Amino acid sequence: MSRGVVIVGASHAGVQVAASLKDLGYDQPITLIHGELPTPYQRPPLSKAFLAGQTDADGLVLRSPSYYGDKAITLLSGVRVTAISPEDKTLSLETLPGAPAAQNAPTTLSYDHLVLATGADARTLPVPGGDLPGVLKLRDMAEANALKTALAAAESLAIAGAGFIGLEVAATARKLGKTVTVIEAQDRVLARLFPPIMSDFITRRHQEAGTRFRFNATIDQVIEMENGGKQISLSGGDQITADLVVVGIGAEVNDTLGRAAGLKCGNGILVDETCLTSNPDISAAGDCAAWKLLGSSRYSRTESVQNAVDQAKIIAARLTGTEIPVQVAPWFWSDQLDIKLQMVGDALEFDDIVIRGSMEEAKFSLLYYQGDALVRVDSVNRAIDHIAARKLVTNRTSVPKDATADIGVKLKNFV
Amino acid sequence: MSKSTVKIGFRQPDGEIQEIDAPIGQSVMQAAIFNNVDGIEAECGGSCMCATCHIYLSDDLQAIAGEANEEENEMLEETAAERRPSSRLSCQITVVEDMNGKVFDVPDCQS
Ligand SMILES: Cc1cc2nc3c(=O)[nH]c(=O)nc-3n(C[C@H](O)[C@H](O)[C@H](O)COP(=O)(O)OP(=O)(O)OC[C@H]3O[C@@H](n4cnc5c(N)ncnc54)[C@H](O)[C@@H]3O)c2cc1C
Ligand code: FES
Repeated sequence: MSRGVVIVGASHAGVQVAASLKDLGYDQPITLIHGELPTPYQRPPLSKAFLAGQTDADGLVLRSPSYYGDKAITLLSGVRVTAISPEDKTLSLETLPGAPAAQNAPTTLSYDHLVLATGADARTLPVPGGDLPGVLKLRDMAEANALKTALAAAESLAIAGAGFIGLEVAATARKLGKTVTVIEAQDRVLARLFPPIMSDFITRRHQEAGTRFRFNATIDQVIEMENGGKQISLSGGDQITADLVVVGIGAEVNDTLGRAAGLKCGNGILVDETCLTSNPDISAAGDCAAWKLLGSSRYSRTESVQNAVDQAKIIAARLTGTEIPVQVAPWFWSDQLDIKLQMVGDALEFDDIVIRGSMEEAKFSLLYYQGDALVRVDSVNRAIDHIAARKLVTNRTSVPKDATADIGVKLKNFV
Repeated sequence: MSKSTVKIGFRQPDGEIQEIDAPIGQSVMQAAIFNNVDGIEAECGGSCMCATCHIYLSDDLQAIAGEANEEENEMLEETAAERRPSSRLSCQITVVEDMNGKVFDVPDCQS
């Protein structure tokens, strides 16, 4: 009997592999291993609507709980894969305490093809006190629940890291009326991802909303105070206190299983343009996979829902012998305060930036050029630019700069 | 969360209609996802970022749902299936009592 496709990790990438396989008519068994409980869910709202209390866990499900059964996808929830043995194509499994006992989860499982969609984990604050209760990370539902509860009881919070997660939590916490201080080692927000003009814009908006920033500062130590609050020592000698510390200092790729199975890894599991690993029976998708972006010779990982979903569709197409979707430029979104940010393209290597629209009114796009080619577009409250930009950037289209600067000319015209 | 629901339908391109109980106050997209309606991908989870929750509204549904705002209209410019005057993003429409018994049309593709 065929053992079909087994998928490890049931988040944006894993669930999409299963769904796309079904959509494309794959008729062998599909087993989806979900290392968490209960039902696979969306992550982006964890730092936004869920934390703000605008939606509950039911509103975050990726598919309805009955979806998997209806589609004959075997979903093993609360089950973790502990090892892969590529020689005989089997997995070792362990069931988490609290997983539905009736499930009778197996301890080993065989596969014809294996898909690793194990994602990433939030990095822990690597200093004394970085693991105290009240120093919280945000990656999964359990962490989001803990943070939400703690936030309700807190008046003040210190956030380590001015990346997307840190800034989204800051925005949400300010909305809830908390005192917020963001501590960032660099001299500006999102320094790895944006040029100063965009960092400054975002910082100003957060400052107007009441968030305080400490730039060029790192946390040396966190100490629990008698009242349960935290005393935070900053490099340079300053101390600040907060009821709660939230750590948003990046993600750590979860490629342990793949490494142990002998797959070629760098920063993540290395895959080709069809998301196949160095083992012909194993694919990888999403945050755990590193591939070469269009026009690049380096392997890199993209931590975004779009990347997870697109890579999943590529795997499903390969496994069913369907036409493989072409790689498009990576895109990402973030919601902070009244800023709806949409980015497409990766390279921060550019010769020139054109500003389209009004930064004062928070309705603009930044267009990044290498020579005449459009290589990246960051839009703030300009969805119309973003949508056109996805195609323009994928094709590195040449577009006259004076034309793109003119808001009266639609970017769509150049697609 | 509201407890009361209305019955709404989704018509697939082949004409088949699936009727579901949609909670009043939820988005039409959420109700569809929760009830396994095929053909609604909702990649961005309702953030008005992906345009993969596209649906078509009948005249009476358009009157009930109201107009798309500017942001949604901009996203609608790039739907994978044909954009029509009746096109909306289902994540931007709230289920209301007057939708009881009405049917939404699912386009033939989302991406
Ligand atoms: C708070 C937050 C906000 C975000 N906001 C945005 C946003 O606005 N826009 C955007 O595009 N992206 C956003 N992201 C990023 C996005 O969520 C990720 O890129 C996406 O979740 C990656 O999906 P994935 O399936 O590759 O991995 P993950 O979502 O990391 O899932 C991996 C899964 O694999 C499981 N797993 C790992 N090892 C095992 C094992 N051995 N056995 C069984 N299961 C295992 C894990 O438990 C986990 O459930 C956000 C992320 C977070 C945390
Ligand atoms: S779900 Fe993405 S735009 Fe509606």
